Amino acid sequence: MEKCDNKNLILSCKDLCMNFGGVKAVDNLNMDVPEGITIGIIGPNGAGKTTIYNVFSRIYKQTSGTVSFNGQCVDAMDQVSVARMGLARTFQNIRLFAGLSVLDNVKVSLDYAGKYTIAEAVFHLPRRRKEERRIADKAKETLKLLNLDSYSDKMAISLPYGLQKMVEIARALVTEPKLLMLDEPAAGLNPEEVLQLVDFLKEIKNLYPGLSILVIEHRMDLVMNLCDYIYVQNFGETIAKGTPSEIQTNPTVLAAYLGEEDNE
Amino acid sequence: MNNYQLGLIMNSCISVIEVVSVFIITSLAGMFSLGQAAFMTISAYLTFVLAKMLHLPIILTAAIGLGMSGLCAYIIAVPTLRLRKDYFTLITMGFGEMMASIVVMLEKYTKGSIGFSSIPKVKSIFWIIVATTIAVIFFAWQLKRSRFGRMCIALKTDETAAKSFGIDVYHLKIKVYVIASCISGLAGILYGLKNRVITPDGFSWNLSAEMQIFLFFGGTNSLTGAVISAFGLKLLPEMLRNLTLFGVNMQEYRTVIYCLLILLVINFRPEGMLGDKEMSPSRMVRAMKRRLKREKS
Repeated sequence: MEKCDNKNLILSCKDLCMNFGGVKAVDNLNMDVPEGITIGIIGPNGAGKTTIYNVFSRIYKQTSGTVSFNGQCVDAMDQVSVARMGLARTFQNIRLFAGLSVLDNVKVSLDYAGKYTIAEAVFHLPRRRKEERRIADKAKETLKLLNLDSYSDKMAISLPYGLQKMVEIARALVTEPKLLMLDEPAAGLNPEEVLQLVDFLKEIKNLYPGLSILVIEHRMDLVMNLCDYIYVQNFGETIAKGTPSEIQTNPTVLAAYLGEEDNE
Repeated sequence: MNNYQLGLIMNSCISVIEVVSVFIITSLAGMFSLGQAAFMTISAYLTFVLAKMLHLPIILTAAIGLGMSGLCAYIIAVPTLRLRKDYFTLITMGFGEMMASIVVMLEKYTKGSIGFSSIPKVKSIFWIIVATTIAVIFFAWQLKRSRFGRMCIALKTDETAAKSFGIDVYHLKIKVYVIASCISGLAGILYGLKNRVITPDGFSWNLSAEMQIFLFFGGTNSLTGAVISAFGLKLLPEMLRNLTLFGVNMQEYRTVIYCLLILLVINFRPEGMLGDKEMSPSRMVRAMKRRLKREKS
């Protein structure tokens, strides 16, 4: 196995490739995510950004290369086990659970680890009551921390779009993951909501100093504001990486974004 | 109340138990089973045939019957729940038909299509059925409000998202399906005890479909709705038995009435009569308090 034992790296991938038929969605990606760092992934549509997430969270199995998470090789693992190891994510289009309130949506994240059996659940035994109280307290605490507690009892999908995004992030954070992967958190938000979201994410960085964050985003203001380090993807390849100020002046990036190449 | 009325209530209670089992499968875990009657067949026949052949007490053979229901559900669930949802529906439907044929084939033990009628009489069957129904509703309610209920509703909405929160979708679905099938089995046994005769026709595909109709009428996400509609819709044809239409008793139009109702519900209230509203004692108390407060101010 490759070096899968670097302690400070929460996530790292080596020579990662993901092909769909002849399409190389991810081509030789090398990425390291150290602890407590926010990394942005930017790139035009179809650059394979979401595919990277789907490989990291094991929805897809990569064609070649290795991924390690929290010092462990996860190539043979499935979605459920990496999620339980502390990899949390949100989705491009909101995927809150319909039919559950905001509080219940957050509770669901904690539920797989609840310590009571189905029998204890149906007979309403003491251990269930204790565990339910613990789960509810934890969920309420997180919502309060993120200033979302006033919406606890509302149905999650009836909230305004911007709030739904925040609830989705709260739901991902409640298990105190090691890595939070945000997939276009600002998509579909109006400028005011984007500002709120930036503040919200900055707040999260303060509240959870050990948390590493990966952000896919199109809004440059958000990425430049938030990220410590940026990867620029185009047609599956990494065309540049560096700090926000380096990226802003990188000629290759400008070419890819402004379309200065000879096509079109 | 006379025996006829008691009988109607018992029928409705059994129908409630059936619908609760379908509620757990469809409303909680988002699976669509069209073969729950098969588990009634398995439990009922095993219970009463074994009781007669081996001269065992019913309570023991009932346990065997329920266990067998659970086991069969497990055997079906393990391969099919890995497939897409529609395959699961197809397999359960096929399984239902298979069970009916097996009963006819094993005529020697089951008396085939004539029906098996050596069922002992049980004292105070009315109270047994009512108590079981209440217990089953309580269990389902607790299940819905527990972490398992939440995880089920989550995986029903979005399996990929559910998995990314550490929910083991496949195994949870199997568990839920086995539990629900045991509840269906229980309904089968009670049905046998009440009617004192079981026939393969009694547990046909129609019954499985009827359960789904009751569920969708009452509210796809509401246990309260499911219970009320199962109880009421089962009674409805009996209410109409004195009416005739085109020279035929209205009761004969049962299936037509159900189908019309379901068409109306799907068109005008696609979420069912109660949608996802639940009625619980604590919520009713809260609502009362709120009303009192409003009147004071």
